[in-house]
Parts: sequence; C-alpha cells; structure tokens
Amino acid sequence: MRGIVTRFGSRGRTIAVLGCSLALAGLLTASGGRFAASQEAVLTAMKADQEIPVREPWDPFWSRLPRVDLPLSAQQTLPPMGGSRWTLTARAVQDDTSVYIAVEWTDPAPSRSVATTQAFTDAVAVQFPAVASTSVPALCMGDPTATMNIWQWRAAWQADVNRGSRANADAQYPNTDVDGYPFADDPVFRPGEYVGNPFSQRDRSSAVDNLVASGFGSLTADPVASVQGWGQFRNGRWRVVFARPLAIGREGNVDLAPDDWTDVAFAVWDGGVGERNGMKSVGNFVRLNLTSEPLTPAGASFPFWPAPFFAFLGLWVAVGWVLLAWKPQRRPA
Amino acid sequence: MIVEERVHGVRLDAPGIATSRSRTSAWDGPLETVLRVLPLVGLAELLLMRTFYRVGIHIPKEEPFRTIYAVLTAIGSFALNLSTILAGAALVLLGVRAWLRGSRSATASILAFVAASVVLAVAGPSELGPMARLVFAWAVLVIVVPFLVMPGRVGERVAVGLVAAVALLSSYAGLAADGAVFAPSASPGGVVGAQLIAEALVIVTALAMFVTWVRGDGLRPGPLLLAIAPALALLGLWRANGAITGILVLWTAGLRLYLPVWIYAVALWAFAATAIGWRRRMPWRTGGMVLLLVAGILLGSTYVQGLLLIALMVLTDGAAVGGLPRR
Repeated sequence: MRGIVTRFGSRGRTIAVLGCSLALAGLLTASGGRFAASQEAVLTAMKADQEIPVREPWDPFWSRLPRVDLPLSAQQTLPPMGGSRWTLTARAVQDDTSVYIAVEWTDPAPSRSVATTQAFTDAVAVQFPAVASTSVPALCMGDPTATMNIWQWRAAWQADVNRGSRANADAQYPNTDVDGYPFADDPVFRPGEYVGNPFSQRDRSSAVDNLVASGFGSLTADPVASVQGWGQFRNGRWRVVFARPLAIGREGNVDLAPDDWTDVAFAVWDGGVGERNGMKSVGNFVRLNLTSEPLTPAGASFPFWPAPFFAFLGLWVAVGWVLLAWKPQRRPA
Repeated sequence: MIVEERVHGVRLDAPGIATSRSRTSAWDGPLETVLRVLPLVGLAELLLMRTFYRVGIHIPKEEPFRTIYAVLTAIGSFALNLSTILAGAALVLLGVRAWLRGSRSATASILAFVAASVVLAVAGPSELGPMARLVFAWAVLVIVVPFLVMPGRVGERVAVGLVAAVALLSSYAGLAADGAVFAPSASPGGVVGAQLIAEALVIVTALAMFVTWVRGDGLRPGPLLLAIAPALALLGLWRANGAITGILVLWTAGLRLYLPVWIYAVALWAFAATAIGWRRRMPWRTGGMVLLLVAGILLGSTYVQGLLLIALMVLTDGAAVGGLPRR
C-alpha cells in the first residue's frame, strides 16, 4: 500500500482527489443525493397529565413548555406580497387525546375587526402536511400531490366568539340610522352566509378556521370546526393556543399520534398594517415531535436561560488556558 | 514540485506556529488545489443553487427560459455536490496536515467534525444534530485560539475573533433550538437575540477586516473602486424590490437586514475591497473570505459549517494546522 501511495507524486494525488470528487459529485447529482445534513429546529410536544388551560393563553403553564423561536420573513412568492413580523415563539404539548400548540408574537396594537372594507384582522396560522410523517411539501400551501392542513386563528373571530358578532352597521357606526330590513333573516339577502362564506358567519363556535389546500388558489374551508383556538393580547404580544384531537379521520386533516412526528410551519398577519391573504410573515418548516415523555413538573424548567452563554464562555477560557500552557514545537529547518 | 510553507502570510518566521520547510507532504499539492478550487465552486453553488434556483417562480415558463433555467440549476446542483465533497476533502487533508505537524487537537477536532457530518448525512439529522454543532463549536475554538494568543497582528486577531464569535453565536442559536431534543423542558431562549447580535458582528467583522487590509497594504484605489459595484448592486436591488432582495439575502447569507440597508452596503463594500485587495499579496485570504460569504451566518447544515471551518483555517494562515501549503 505504501508503495502504491509513494508511486504517485503530488500531481498524481491532486488529479486523483479532483477526479474522485468530480465523479462522486456527478454520482450524487444523478442520484439526487446530498452529502450534507441540515440541522432543523425541533418543536417538542411532551405529554401532560394535568388539565390543559386551553382557554387561558397567558396561564403560566404555557411559559414552561419547551419553546422554539422561529425567524419569519415576508411572503414573497406570489402577490400580494408582504409581511412585517420578525419572530414567532412556538410551544406544543399533548395529552394522548389532543395536541395543543401555543404561538406568541409581538404586535404594536391589536386589530380585531373586519367589519369594514378597510379593516383587517391580526391572525396566525399553523400548517401541516395532511399526511403526517411524509417528506416536506411546498411551503406555500402544498401542491396537487401534497395537501396541506391549515389552522388559521383570527383576532376578529376571537372577538366574535368572546362577545358575539359585531360585524354590522349598528356596531361599526353607532350613530347610523337604518329604516329596517323586511326580510332580515331571509337567506336571499344573506348570500355570503347562505353559501357558507366564513367571513359572513355570525355564530361562531371557534376562532379557528380549519382549512385544506393543495397549492396556490385552492384554499378551502373544512365545514367541520374540529380545531379550537383561544388568543389574548397582553403587553404588546399576542399569544394564541390551538387545540385539536390528535386524529379526526377526515380527508385533508392531519392525523397525529403519540410518538409521531410531522412538519409544521407558521404564518402571521398584522392587520394593523393592512396585511391579509398573501401579505403575511412566514417561517420555514420545522419538525414537530410528539413524545410520550412526561412534561417536567412546574419549577423544574431550565433555571437560568443565559447559562449556555456562560458555558460557552467557560469553554473559551478552558481551551485558551490549555493552549496558553502549550508550548509549540519548533522543528529544525 | 517544490512546496514551501505559507505560514502567517508573508512572515514565515512568525512565532507561535510549528513551521518546517523540510517536512512537506505529498498531500500538500492536492490540499492547495482543493483550497483554490473550493471557493470558486462554492460561489457557483451560492449563485446558481441558493439564489437563481429560488427565483424560479419569476422565470417565464416558456422556452428558451425553461431550458436555460433547467441547465443552470442542474449545474448549480452539481456545484453543490462538488462543493460539499471538496469541503470534506479539504477538511480531511487539513486534518492530515495537522497530524503531520504534531497538532493533535486540531486533527482530532477536524476529523471529529468530518465524522459527525458523515454520520449525519447517512443517518439523517434528527437527534444527532446537536452533536455536529457541538463538535463544530469545538473545532472553531481549536482552530482560532492558537491564532488569537499569538503576539502582534492585532487587527487580524480581532477580525478572526469576530468571525469565531459569529460562528459561536449562531451555533448557540442552533443548540438552543436543538435543546428540546436532549432536554425538552430546558428552554434556554435567546435564539433570536444571539442571531441578531451575530448579524451585527458581521458588519463589525467586515470593517475590522478592511482596517486590517488597509494597515497592511495601504489604501489602493483599484480594490476600493471595484468593491463599489457589489455595494451599489445591493442598494439598487433593495431600491427596486426590497422585499425580494431581503428574502434572498436571508436565504443565501442568513442576514435579516434588520439594520438600515446602507450599513450593509458599506460593510459589503469594505468586505469586497478587502477580498480584492488581499488577492495580490495573500490570495488564500481572498479564498477564505469567499468561503465566509458562501457559508453565511445561519450555519444550518454541516456543509456550510465545514466551509466556515476551512475559511477560519485559511484566514488564520493555518495557525492550528502548521501553516498552509504553497507551490
């Protein structure tokens, strides 16, 4: 072996290294393989044995769940483009029957109304591949071969759930005067509501629209309100909790199970600056792990979050000290 | 073929590094060639795969645009694979070189990173991701610290230290996000803060490198004028369509552009001027700066982490591996 190695000079080895690299790259390109691994963020949903405070997004329970901070960027694939929020914090938990996802982001002021044509609501959406544990489909609502299940919470729907619908002229313009509608409840005069337009609903049981899509322009509302959501605005931040049974067995809806995993992506709309539809901030897919590992009891969470910074600093100092003590060997020329 | 050591740029007698003209290796030739080719292939991958491929939705869907797009992205895909393999080869060769020069810690850290990368590529990311990040952080320290503790050359040490700080902050952000794998209840936080600090340090790094170059070579008008082009291009693209420019920069370099864009333009000008300026006297550093550009700051894959390690070894003139080869 040594004889073979020494028989090739430096030029021969250079040609061999480059030749092998080119051949291997060609092989990988032809086979569609990659010789590098991405290191994506992981959102972990541990098992909670206690009652989940789904209607209380600011309950301390949510703050001690594992969290992932996700960078967002403006949606720039299809018009109308836009998006102004930078970061979203996501948490998840499960209790063997349902999965709960809590998301949190900053917003200068809440926007809770869609009652006029110039008013837009704050909103957040969670997106899953409809079939769990498959490869990641296109981020923008999937494609014809990969359906996406999207849960969209809207602040306006939350206001409707909390206090009843006020999307009418009387609520929006208190001093207006209307003579009267003779057939106020006749569906002929409420076409939006009659055909099931989510914007026209007056009686909402959930602030979340359960949507299914297979690519651009294919977004469809699932009439079954299987996803619940509660959101509250506090100190310049929205926090929203989504809740849904792990499996519901409906086409286009993601079915999950304990110790399962899927991909998940998030989007945020700031209604205050006119964001709606494709004008939104989007994040890339991250992995959602559902685990049967029990949630650590309260108080056992990480005690001091900057500790890893100090650990890194300690590592710096330790390595620096070792190298300072190390005397370089100077070989004779 | 005569191979001599290129240690500390033009100062072959600089203290702190084991140097030897007599202990040349037959692997120096391949290493030097790989270090020359890698920045070019990486740049091709960055432009064709990570940039051009991503604007495909804006390419007209009729001929000949479809064919041109398909050919260029296929070349980009090949360049990505070639760049990945060349990066692996460069790391192995640098590890071997460190071994031959008696730098066992550098060999161990570099080869451990290569091993972790291979394991990840074969087994998939999942639970093994933090392992590669930790090995990467270890390798960064082992490569950089010997250079930082050397006497003199303050500007270069500051610049390299800043690059290492960016790498470690970015790794922290990744590790904090990965933390859920090992300790799901541990939520250290600070991910976004670390990324924002790292991005601000990128600006400072570019300026520090510029100062270092100017102190060494003086102000030469050629590089200063040539470097205006990319800076103006950034400003022009930002003005034409800030949103698309922003997302492309995020996806390619990992920068959010959260500071005023003129700051990034100035930093890009300084970075490009330095890279061009070093090309005449210390061309390997130009290659190292190109590798920094290709690696970006998000460091979301073992490939770009490997590029950053190579860039650090080049920018430290191989301080941790016994110098760099030169024909």
